[in-house]
Amino acid sequence: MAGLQGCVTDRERLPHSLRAAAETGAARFGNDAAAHRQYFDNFRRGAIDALIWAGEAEASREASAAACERGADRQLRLIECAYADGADVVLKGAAVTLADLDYRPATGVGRIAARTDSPLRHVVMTPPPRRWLLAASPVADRLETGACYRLTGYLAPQAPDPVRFPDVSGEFIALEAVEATACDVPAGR
Amino acid sequence: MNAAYHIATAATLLGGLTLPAAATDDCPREEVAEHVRQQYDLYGPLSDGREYFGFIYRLDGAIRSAVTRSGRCTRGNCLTDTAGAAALIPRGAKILGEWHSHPHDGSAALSAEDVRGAKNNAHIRCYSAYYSKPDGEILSWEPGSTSVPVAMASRVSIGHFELQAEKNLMADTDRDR
Repeated sequence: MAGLQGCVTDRERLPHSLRAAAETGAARFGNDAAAHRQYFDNFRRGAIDALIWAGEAEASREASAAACERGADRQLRLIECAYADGADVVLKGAAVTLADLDYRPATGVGRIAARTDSPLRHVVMTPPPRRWLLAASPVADRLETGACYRLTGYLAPQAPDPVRFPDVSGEFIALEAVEATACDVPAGR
Repeated sequence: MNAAYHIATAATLLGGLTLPAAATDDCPREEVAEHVRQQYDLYGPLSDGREYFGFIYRLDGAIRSAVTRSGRCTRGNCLTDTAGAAALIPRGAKILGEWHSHPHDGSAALSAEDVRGAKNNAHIRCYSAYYSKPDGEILSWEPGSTSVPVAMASRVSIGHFELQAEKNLMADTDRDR
């Protein structure tokens, strides 16, 4: 079953520099394989957010840590403890990058576009024209819809759900942006 | 991975026929709605700079949710990997629907992605869909809707969660000291 393949992947998708902390944290929730899978998934999410948002991630970590401490619901505690633990280990200086979490460095020129009936945006990069869903990041927050930029960042290892996002090639995390004029250059013939 | 694939797999594992929701009247809709309200009491107040998504299922007579969360969101820009929730649905469970929260600074409207995601699972018998607005109102919508305007027109309010529940809890704790 595809879901069970996913559970193995979640653990193995953590780099060695994070795995020991994750396994220690997951052990708090017993030996249940499904709980561990959920823990690793959220630990990874916390670590990724800490890498993207750096110091700004501290507020998210604190909110999750508080929910972890006070939550009466086991699943909620598991989700929030794992997220807080993942963010914490990165914010404390673990030697890890987004590349270690299977993200691929990428640079390109693209125009920021709004999506129909959605608060999300995508970036159309050329050539050839391809749409990348624009993930939330400190840099993405500053990008103007309709403007052209040279963007540097990372592509997520997995494309978003093709049912919900049938028109995008993947997800892009913008970490640097410089205004550009190259978006309207015609393709070579 | 594709959430729809997981859902389809889970439904197949049940070995049951899938019928249009409208053709059945034995779906535990009120039980599901009550469960959804309870989930929002937990996750709604926390949906500040993040959102949560849950697939609702019944297993061994109990209705539960398999829940996942987004990473950090800003200005409603939230991306939740629903496949993460689908992967948590136990084998043999009966899928009953989905819910998700919009962040407190997010949109009050359904998005095209919300509508497409629910539509893709609308063939599952008894499937229902819920979301919460930033102000805490909880609404169901017709999961078979094929566009945002149609989905928005089908919405029915089923309750409200307290946005400040977390802060209230902290205040109570402080007062007790």
